[in-house]
Amino acid sequence: MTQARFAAPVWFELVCILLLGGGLSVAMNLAREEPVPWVIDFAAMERRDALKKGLETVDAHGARIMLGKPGVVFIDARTPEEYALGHVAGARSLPQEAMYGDLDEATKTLGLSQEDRLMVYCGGVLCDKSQELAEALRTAGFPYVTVVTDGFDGWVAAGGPTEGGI
Amino acid sequence: MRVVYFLLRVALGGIFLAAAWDKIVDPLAFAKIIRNYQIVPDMLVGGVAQALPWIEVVVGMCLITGLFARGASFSATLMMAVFLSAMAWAWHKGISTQCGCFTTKADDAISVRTFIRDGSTLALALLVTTGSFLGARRV
Repeated sequence: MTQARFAAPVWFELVCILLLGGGLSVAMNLAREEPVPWVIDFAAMERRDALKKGLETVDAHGARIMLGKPGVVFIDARTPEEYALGHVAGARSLPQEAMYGDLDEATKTLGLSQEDRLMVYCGGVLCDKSQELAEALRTAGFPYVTVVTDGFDGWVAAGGPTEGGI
Repeated sequence: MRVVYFLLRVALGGIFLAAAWDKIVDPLAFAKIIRNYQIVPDMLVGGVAQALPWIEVVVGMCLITGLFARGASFSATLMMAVFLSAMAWAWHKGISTQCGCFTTKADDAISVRTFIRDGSTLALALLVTTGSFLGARRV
């Protein structure tokens, strides 16, 4: 063990490690074919992801305008417990987990028609459930599927009417 | 004792190297996981997601080679403590998110298992840190 002979102070070692790690990350990022931005625009990233999947997206303000229009059905992708605690007025509960089971049966039970415009939402901007379920619904033959990007949190913030819960 | 310390140190280094790989391959996926924890402000998530894995690589390499062993083992302990706290925070807030510990793929959600795994790694890091500081004093 020779390393202990050079007794640099611990803080010096820590600074070296930090600088080396930081420097490497900068250098390796520059070496990437497509350098990753240091400040990521998550909203844009989500929009891009959704577009890539061929899904329409709308924020809660936009979604409010759709509420109550004929043929528009709000779909709550969260768990039944979360749904029970409060949901968009008139929304039907279709937990995202349903996509792993018999989705055709589940949509039939809810009385969804393929002509319907399905507005899928989950908890907030951070959840993926609405997007995953929306994708599954499209695959299941529902062409008109829209993801409400800021979810139930956004809906409440936008002053949208809710039902259930407190 | 020296052999045991050496083996533990190399093992810890290996763990850090293994943990860094997936995050380096897909920094955006790692960034999403960090964001899910809702601790780091959005502005900084990109930077953390890119710098953290490389710091893990440097720490891992230092632990394996024995260079800067005290600083490296100390940072390893610090990092594990921060990771565990972050996980406990997410658990407490009821945020269901990926651990982001070893993989950025969607099969490593926070659970009792990840707590035990990170807890043992923290214990190992503490052992190595103690060993490296004691070893440095003896020489």
